[in-house]
Amino acid sequence: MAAFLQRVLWCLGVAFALSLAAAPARAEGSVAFDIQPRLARVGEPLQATLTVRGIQNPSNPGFPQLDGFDIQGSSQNLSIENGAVSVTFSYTLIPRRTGRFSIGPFTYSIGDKNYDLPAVDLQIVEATAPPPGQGEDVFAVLEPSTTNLYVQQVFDLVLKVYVSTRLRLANIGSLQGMPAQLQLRTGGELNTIRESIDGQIYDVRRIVLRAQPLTSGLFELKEVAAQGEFASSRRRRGPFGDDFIDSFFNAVQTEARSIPIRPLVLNIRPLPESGRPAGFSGAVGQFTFEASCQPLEVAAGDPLNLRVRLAGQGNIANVQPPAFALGDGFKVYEGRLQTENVDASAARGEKVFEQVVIPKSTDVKEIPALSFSYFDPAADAYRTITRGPFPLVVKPGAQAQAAVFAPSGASVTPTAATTLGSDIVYLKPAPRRWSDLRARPWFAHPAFLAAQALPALLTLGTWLVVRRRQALRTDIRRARRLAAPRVARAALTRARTVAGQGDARALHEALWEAMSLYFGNRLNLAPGEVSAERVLAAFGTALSADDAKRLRSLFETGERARFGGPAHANPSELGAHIEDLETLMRLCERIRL
Amino acid sequence: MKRLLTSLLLALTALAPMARAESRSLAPFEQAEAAYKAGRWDDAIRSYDDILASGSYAPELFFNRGNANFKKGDLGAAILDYRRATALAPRDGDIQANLRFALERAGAPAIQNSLSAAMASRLTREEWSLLAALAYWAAGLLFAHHLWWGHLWARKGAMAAAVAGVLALAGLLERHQVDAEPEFVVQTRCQALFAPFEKATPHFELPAGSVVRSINRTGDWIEIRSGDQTGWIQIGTSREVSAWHAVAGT
Repeated sequence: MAAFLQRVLWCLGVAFALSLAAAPARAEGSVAFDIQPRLARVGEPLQATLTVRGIQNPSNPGFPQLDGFDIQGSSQNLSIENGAVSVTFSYTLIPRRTGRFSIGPFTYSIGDKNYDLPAVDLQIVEATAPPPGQGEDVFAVLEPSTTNLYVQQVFDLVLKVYVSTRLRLANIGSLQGMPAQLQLRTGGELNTIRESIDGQIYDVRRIVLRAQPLTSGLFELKEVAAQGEFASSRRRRGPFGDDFIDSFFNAVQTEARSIPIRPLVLNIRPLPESGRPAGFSGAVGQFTFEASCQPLEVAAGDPLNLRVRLAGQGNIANVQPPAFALGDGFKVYEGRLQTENVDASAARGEKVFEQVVIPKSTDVKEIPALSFSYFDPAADAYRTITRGPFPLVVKPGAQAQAAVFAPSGASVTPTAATTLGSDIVYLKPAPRRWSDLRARPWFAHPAFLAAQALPALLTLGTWLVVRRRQALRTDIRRARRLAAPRVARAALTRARTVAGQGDARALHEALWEAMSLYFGNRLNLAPGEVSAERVLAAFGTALSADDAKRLRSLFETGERARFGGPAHANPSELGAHIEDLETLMRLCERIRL
Repeated sequence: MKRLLTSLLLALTALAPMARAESRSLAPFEQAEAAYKAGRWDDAIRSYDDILASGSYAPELFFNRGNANFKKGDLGAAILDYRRATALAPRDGDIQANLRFALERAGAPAIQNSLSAAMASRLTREEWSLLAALAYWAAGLLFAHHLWWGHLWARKGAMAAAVAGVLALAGLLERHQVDAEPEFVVQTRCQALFAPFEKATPHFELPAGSVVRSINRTGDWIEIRSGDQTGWIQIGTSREVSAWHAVAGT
């Protein structure tokens, strides 16, 4: 096992090494240079990065001294992306004066190859920010990707949230105050950039929303706001009162705040009436349409599968397949959506529909052409894609052959089909039973529902009884234990009967039988084994000394009376024996052995 | 055991009155029939409405009122009545024939159901419930018999009854699933829209009498499914098939 694992690890190591070695050969190798942020204040650190991809052992060129900037330290980071090694050299630049700077261009040379790195433009402004309140700390704008908008058109609406560098925006929530006729879905977030407005520097978060107007008209977005969560610089004290330990707890406070969005008016036009194709069913965007039919050779009455694929970008979520107007030659079944792959923003994807159709006769020669129409907002025009017709070979089916069968010699004369009914079926007679509108259905009646417990209870009860019976049949000790009080009671009843007659010998005989049966069954002893010693030994200390003495006395009295005692005795004395024995049996019954 | 079975039978007999069905005077029904024969469709419809208003209903009543509506030319109302009659008597050939005929006359699409939904719709909910309950009782009694007497045939019977019970329960659940999307019959020709707004883009047309299923509802709008297509219509343009409480007088 260990040898196997070693071999597997060795193979994996070789594969990894080969992939690393092969990576530069596969990739051309590239070098990128960037500085972020490109708008900053004097003294604010900037990060310059030189990223070298797909080149083995790149050297750190260092960062040249620049007028107006201090270079403070550098670092190197290695990563592997898709099998290619990527090395990033980072340098921290501290701007020392205001102005616009163009850093670069540079040339990065490795071996005999040179890589040109275009210049990066920076803007450095005064170190002191305008006092709070002079400009807006946070606001947002909505920018549509186009102004040529139609109803049902899916377009991008970029939410740009401007946040002063004094604030830290953690999360952006949903928009409030948007009209319900404008459906919005999230389309992802772009990189954060910086912009300067009136001397104020803003971090600009850009979130792409996919918008879809459901109606036409002017949409005035006046009182729209986004909910933002801002991280506060104050830290909550953690439970340990220690800064180092508290830093492990996310103790940064957040504050919810409404971000006003500047008004925007969207003019959503209705789809043009002119040039609207007959089969247009509301698709707006850019789509492709494919249709196929399998098989193309069938017997009349046999099914064939018509498959339609619609793909593209636009309101694909609402797009329906074209109507299958195949004519009387076909029996058409309910179509169904086979697959649907629509992205989360419902702006692009594909749908595959399948429809089973059955050619009714051999007269059918083709499946008519299928057309799909959509409105292309980029071209301001309707488009129609047509696929087919699909030639079809329909052979006579088994049913059709049976229909032309006729006895030999008889002439087959075709008769015109006649319509048997052209009106509705006549009235029905009065019903014999009426239902009551106000009555509760019988299956919801509580008595019916309660009665449904009976079969389960019956089955459970039967199972328990049968199980107990089977257990007693195999477990003799338990069966005798359970039978002990019952058989003893029967013997005691007999004893009471003879006690009334004053027959002391018969009474002691009956008492002895009761003791023998009870203790014999209770302790699983053979009839001859029942004696005071065995019984007292079995019960041990569970019986008090007094009770043990009474029991022993009963045994001795019984033995004496049975074989040599007086034939008659006082009935009250005999009754006391019975009471004694009953008391002792009840006592023993309560003792667990 | 005999005593136990007798007690159970007595208990079942005691449940019988719950399946209450009343008999009533035939006069209004006959009046409606007479009016129908005389071509007084409105009178016939009114008489049937009176019976419904009194709180009684039967598939025959909806069928006949559907006929009167059909003759009157109100195909939307006729198809609604036929669908109500179908819900009460799903295997009645006359009702099916008239429903098909009315749908064709209205130019409304034929009702399309999946195979499982079509099978579940072959029985009413009462019938599925009865089947499931009978199978369950049979399975319970037969299994108890097998436990007590050990007869193999009782165990096989219990298993068969249990399978039948599961199938009936599946049918009941499927029927419940079908009923969970309430059926509506469009009463006046209308456009299904892409969204629940008056100015929303028209999607497809629904002739009067179209049978659609409601899959969503917001305000006065319902989202409906007709074949493969879905769209929004205003609730006033259609009537719900299973709205028994609103049947009286409609």
